[in-house]
Amino acid sequence: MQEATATVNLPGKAPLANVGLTFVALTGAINRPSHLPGIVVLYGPSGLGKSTAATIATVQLRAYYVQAKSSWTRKAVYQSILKSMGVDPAKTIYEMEEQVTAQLAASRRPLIVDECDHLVAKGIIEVVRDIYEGSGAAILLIGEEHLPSNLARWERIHNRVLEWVPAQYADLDDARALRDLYCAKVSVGDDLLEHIHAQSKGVARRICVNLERVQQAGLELGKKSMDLTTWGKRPLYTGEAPVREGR
Amino acid sequence: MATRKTAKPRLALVGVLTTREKLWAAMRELHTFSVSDLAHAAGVDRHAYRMDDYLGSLVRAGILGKDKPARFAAATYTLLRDLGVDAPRVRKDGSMLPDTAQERMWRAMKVLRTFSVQDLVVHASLPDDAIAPSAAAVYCQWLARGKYLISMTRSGNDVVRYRFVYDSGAKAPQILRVKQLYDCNLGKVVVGDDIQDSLDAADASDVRGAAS
Repeated sequence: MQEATATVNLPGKAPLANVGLTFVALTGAINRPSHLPGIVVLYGPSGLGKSTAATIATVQLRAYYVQAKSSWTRKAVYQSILKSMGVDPAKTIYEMEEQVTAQLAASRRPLIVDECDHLVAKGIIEVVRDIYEGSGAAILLIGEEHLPSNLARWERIHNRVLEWVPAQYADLDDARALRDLYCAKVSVGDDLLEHIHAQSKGVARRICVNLERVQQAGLELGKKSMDLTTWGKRPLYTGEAPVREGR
Repeated sequence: MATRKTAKPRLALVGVLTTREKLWAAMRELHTFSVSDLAHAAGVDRHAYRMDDYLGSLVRAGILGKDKPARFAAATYTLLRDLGVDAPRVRKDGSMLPDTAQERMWRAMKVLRTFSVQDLVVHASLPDDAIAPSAAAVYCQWLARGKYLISMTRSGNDVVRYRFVYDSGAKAPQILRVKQLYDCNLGKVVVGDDIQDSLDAADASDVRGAAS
């Protein structure tokens, strides 16, 4: 069993630091002893695999996931969470809050709030505390680099954080793990992988896009393996403003 | 209403319910019930739908309790563990089932927002329930046809990437198998499944442990 599925087992072997750390922290929050707080904060600049970590947690821990928007009001927070639960929303904010906390408490599933910075900026981050106090559910807050310092102003939330997880740049080990996950059909040489890692500046998302490009190129060339020389001067995705390549 | 602290908040699923979901909702409402109470409350025809399978599985999972009935008396069931609005997915032996592959992909694509088929495979697979790339590709194609996804313009050697654009709700749109007897002579469907049958059949295929 292990062999057949090892290629897609992201948290099992925790090949990606961010995924592993987030998964462990959130699992810890779910199974925490009652005297410990249950909020986990994952923060860092965009592109560092926060969404990968959030996806894995959503899928494997059956978390409810919402992504905050700058337009959100308190009501929108609850409506959005209820939508992710598939629950028919009540009319008043008070009732919706009860629905959210009741479902979280009964199902014991965690809640993930992405782009939390918007809630902080709007000054409505306290809804998270209300939900947390009402349900006791494990909650993962995801935001930008300065989220921890911004949260410090809301002492009542800050005090309830079990763990702060800084997102990290993908290192070469992470890149190797991604190669195993993304390049099943064409083997990618270490020299090319290092080139991809450098060009992608440690951003996991870009590494994935580039690995898929390499595999695709290998398939088109009919090659079983690709390295720096076979790849040649083909462009890599660097995340900079798109430059249209001559076709 | 809102002033009554003791009133339980009303939790109901939106959308069309499978028969198992109707039964579960009724169980949460009744708490203690006989099979006929449950069928009545859920609006399920107990002669057309075999309720015993689901009830038995829930008992073996420890979610329902079943008292030992006196001879000829109807058994009484009690809800022991209320797990929230979602009908628990249990196998016949009472073990819990993971979400279906399509459900996991549906959730993963909402978080990823833009993704390739392989992204979905990597993110939505479980350690002991891998998703086949072909299944992920087919699901994406269906969702793209349904305008849930749009495929993004490609450059160079990029693989197909999709953008998630329409979130219709918590439940994953399902590729259903609808079995029908169609007669070309008459030019019509003579007999066959309606959508409720197909939804229930998809539910039941999980119980048998078939991959979905």
